Amino acid sequence: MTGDKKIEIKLPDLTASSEKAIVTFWHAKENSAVTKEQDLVEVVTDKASFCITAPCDGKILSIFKKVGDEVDFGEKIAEITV
Amino acid sequence: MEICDKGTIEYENALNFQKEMLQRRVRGEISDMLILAEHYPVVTFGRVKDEENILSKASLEDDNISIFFSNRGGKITYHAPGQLLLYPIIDLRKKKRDVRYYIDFLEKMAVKSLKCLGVPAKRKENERGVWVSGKKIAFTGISLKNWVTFHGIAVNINNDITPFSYINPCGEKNIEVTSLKEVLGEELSMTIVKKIFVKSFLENMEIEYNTK
Repeated sequence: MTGDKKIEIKLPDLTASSEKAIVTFWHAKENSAVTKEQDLVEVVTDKASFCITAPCDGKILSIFKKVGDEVDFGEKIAEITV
Repeated sequence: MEICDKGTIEYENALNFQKEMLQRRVRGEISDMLILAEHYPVVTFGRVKDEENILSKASLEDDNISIFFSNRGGKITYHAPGQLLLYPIIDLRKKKRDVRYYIDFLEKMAVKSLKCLGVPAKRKENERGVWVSGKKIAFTGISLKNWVTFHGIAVNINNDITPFSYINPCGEKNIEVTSLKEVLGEELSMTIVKKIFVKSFLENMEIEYNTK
């Protein structure tokens, strides 16, 4: 059963210098179930793509950034209920 | 660090191998690994599918150069036998977690290796890649999953660079490309070239990531 606890998915600090990333691909949709370490979303900086995975089993409650959106390091991308 | 030379291999097969090793590294089943490869002629795109950077689709077809859409960082590039690919599968979770620092590391390693081979290679302050007299000789495009790296760096050694003129390499217009063969005026043994790059890679891992 899911829904008791919310976990925020944030873009990690990919580099020490201040930078943004762009969302390029969502592997999951809102309201879909996810399992721990499942691919969630990919972002790109200049020469790197970075795949963020699910930290735990749960369900995607909200997606805050769509493909093409800029994201700051530390910014919330999605929310999972567990 | 395990060194795995896949020889000349289709791009897609090398990518599938990388993904398998990546998953195993994420799970802690294997140690860090450096995969070496050459590819049959192929143009690859990164996650940014910038198809406007193909300048002559007819030339690609005439030369039997296939096209592959990849998930790496970076934009369009070209691979062929004689070009050395280094695909490190490195777990950065307990090392310095910094994407830009890691790309710097790859480029510094390529500069060091090329200098060992007699090529006056340099990095540019505000442009990615490795350069010789204003021409690009090495191209970076990396990916990470759970802070474990895959994809990496491509270095033109003995490959014919003509097909780079069919595209805007890295999405950059009017960029000039070169190879070790063009700079030195002769082909070098890929076996020797690989040994130099592996040595530099391991030395720079010790320097940049304290792996000793």
